[in-house]
Amino acid sequence: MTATATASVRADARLGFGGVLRSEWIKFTSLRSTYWTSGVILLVWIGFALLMAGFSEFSVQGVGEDELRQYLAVIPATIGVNVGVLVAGILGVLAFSGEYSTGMVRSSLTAVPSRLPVLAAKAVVVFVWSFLLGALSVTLSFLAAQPFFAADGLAGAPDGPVLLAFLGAAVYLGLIALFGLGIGALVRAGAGGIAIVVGLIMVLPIVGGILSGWIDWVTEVLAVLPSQVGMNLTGVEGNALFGDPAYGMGASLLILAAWSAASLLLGALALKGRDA
Amino acid sequence: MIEARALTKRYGSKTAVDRVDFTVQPGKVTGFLGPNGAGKSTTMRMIVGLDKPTSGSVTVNGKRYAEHRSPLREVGVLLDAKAVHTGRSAYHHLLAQAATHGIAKRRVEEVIALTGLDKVARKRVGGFSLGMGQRLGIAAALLGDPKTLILDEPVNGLDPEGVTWVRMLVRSLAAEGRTVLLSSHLMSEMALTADHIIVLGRGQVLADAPVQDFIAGSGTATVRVRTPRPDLLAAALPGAPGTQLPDGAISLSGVTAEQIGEAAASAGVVLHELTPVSSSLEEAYMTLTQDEVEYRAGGVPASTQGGAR
Repeated sequence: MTATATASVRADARLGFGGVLRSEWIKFTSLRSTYWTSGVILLVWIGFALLMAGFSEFSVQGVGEDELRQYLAVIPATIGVNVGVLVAGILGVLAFSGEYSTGMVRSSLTAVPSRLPVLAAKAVVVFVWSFLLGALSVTLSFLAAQPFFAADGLAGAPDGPVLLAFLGAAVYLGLIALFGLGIGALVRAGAGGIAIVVGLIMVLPIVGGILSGWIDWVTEVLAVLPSQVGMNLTGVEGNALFGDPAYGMGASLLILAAWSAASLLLGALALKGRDA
Repeated sequence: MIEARALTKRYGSKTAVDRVDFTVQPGKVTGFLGPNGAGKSTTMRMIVGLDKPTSGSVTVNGKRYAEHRSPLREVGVLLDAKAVHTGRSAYHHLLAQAATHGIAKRRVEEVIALTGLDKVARKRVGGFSLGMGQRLGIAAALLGDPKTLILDEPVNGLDPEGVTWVRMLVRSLAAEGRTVLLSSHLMSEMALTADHIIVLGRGQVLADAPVQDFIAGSGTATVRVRTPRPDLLAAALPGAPGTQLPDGAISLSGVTAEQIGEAAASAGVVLHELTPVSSSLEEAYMTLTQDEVEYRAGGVPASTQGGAR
């Protein structure tokens, strides 16, 4: 026997994207922080649904029962996404910044010296996880909220537009997690990355809202921010109760995807170009 | 085989590695020596593509590291700083590394057993001692059963049993025909482990030679002589400075025992002792690098005057 006991390394063992994907899945699911943040998203999301369904007064006039039914199905079930995307964005940032803060990135890039497959595999893992988490959260929130409306005869199975809004919430969560991932690869530091994500999703809309009263073009900027186009994805088009956003669902999806793509592109350039 | 050609790395105006040329041969343990800041770690990072050379090139078995189809099977590397997520268990760390290359779970268990990590493999790495962290780093380096091993300070923090184990391990890996590049500041350990030495100082190659040649060529070998007439012997050997030793013997440098014996015979001087004293790797290294040290300790601080009474 040799000192390294070589029997178990097959001669055809080779670097490939499937392997990198498996590796990133193992990495993501073997950290406690993944479960903590996911649990927080799930609990907060359902908690918001219960609060809204149980304690809010809905006062609506001049709409049909179908519109109202859609509204009562969608709003409590998706209201939690606003907090969910903050946490999912942070989860995305940490998925890359954690590699730098711990030095793990040196191991990762030694195994995958072409580097970009690491980011691509992380993107797949982070998106799939966040999307499924969003889908689970919105489903459980819907189920938790429905009993409150049964007494008024407004509960019931979700129709097509409602399911589309649920799907939109899950996609919103997944795309913001991707946005965070790109920022994490770009700035490398967890604190800085989280500041950018929270600033863009939460702080900028508030500041913009204040300024829009004085500066006209601010309104147009606000309409394309991730938090606005993301919210559009969770609405029902043609239902007056959801207002009339500047962009429809298709355009909103493209704009939100563009934010994530831009962030991932910047992250990829930084990953490829800089010393690790 | 690792080949560096005019390898250079600059950080701003500071040149960490300056047009370095060397070849690390397979079948030998090559010791990589140099003071702190000499450029050893930077060179190692460039070999595996973590840092890009400013100019020049470095290849492993004829290709740049990133061009190999199975990098982990070509090169196993242990870098000086920790390269593991502290929140993950050793087992999952190795499993994730192995997965990139489709290396089986059995190999992960094998390297865990080989490095003596069985009891702590399922614990999070954040709680590991320095020695356990080193063992995990060595386990990760061995994962792909690589043809080339690059180990930066592998015995740092290991217990004496671990130090011996690393020595046996790298010796046997080299004996199997693999290429081993090893850095350490422990000269006595390096003397036992390495066949060949490359010394860096301020980013340049100061020496590149077999260990025995390196020591012999350093000019630090001395000859111990005892004679009742040191004055006559000194007169017979004008080119050899001597130092009086506490036990009455004289230490001569710059001459061989043969030259001393012949000079003594022709001058009619009686010798009571004539002993060649070979120098150690440490002495040879210190002589070579004494002017190249980047960060030198500022001496021992004087005791505080008039402290609180």
